[in-house]
Amino acid sequence: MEPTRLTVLVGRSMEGDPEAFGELVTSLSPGLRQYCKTFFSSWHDAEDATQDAWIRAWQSFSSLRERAAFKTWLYRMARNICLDRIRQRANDQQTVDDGVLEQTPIPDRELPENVAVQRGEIADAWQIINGLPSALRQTFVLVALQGMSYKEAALVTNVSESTVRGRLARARNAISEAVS
Amino acid sequence: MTTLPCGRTTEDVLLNLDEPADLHELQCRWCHAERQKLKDQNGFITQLLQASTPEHEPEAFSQSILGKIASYVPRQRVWDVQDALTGNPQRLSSLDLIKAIRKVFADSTQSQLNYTEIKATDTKIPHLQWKVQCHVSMAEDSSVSTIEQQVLGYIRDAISPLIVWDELVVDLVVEDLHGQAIESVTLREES
Repeated sequence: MEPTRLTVLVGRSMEGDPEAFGELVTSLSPGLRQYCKTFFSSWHDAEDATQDAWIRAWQSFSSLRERAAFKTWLYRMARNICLDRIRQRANDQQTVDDGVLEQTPIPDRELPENVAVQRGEIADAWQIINGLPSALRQTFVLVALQGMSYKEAALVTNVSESTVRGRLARARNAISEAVS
Repeated sequence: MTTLPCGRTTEDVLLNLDEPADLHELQCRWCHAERQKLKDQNGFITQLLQASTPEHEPEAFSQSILGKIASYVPRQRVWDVQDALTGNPQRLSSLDLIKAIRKVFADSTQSQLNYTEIKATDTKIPHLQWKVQCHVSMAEDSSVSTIEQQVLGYIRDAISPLIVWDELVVDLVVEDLHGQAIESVTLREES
């Protein structure tokens, strides 16, 4: 989404405009859910956490100090929700630092028709990502897939920028090893 | 991590993969080849993962969330005002006034309204003194002094058909495209 459009939509949402908020939800949910998925083995749990993050965002707009930091604020909120759920349902979910995630098929609706032929490759790609430790997986998704800067990813994951750099390097190394 | 013949490691290259190559990497064929290999391998996986993520969520998803948030108490403050047309007492929410302001700004080619808040500052019923916080981005060929008068005029044009007022204070914040404040000024007008 264009930065100018995002700025306006966040502003209108803070004013209490549900239509603008709906547009934010539509535009940012795919990425947010992808990030939530880094905590869980099932897309269903990721989707629930995504919904909760949006609801909490709507209720907590007054705590957003900088509209420019909306995305980081939203992702941090989602992260806290995911971590809370993992703590609550430790028996059902993997723990945050668990190294191996159960292989999870990608839901059909996430596959555009024109890449259907790549289904096998995409599933393999997800399997590689799911095989990373959670911290590396989160960092990779935030920076490489969501396009966040190291600084933004550090704010979301509550670590330093140098930690983000190190985690990303380890994630990329693991991916390269898996591919070659 | 592999150590390259030049003495650097794969990790050295990986840590700076998002940065431009440094002087050593530019001159070292081992590092150059390693960087290219890592970029290709990671790029391939990244591309596949991005292809599996839709650009927009299906409408049903946002509708479901909007349905859920609709049950929460509206956060809008309601104000006792005097109707500008009839002179009768009336109640308007902040959002009613904000919508009117946004409608006027929608025609602007010089400024974009990013965020606004409006509140009465007097204790009278109906309220006659208003304070508006206005965060705007401006066109590159515009200037703060031009925007100042324009914004004040927009606010006046927006609320005057709705409510009777005798003092209007506008806290104008000029922002960049990302919503970061660049400059702020307070404007005042009496009717």
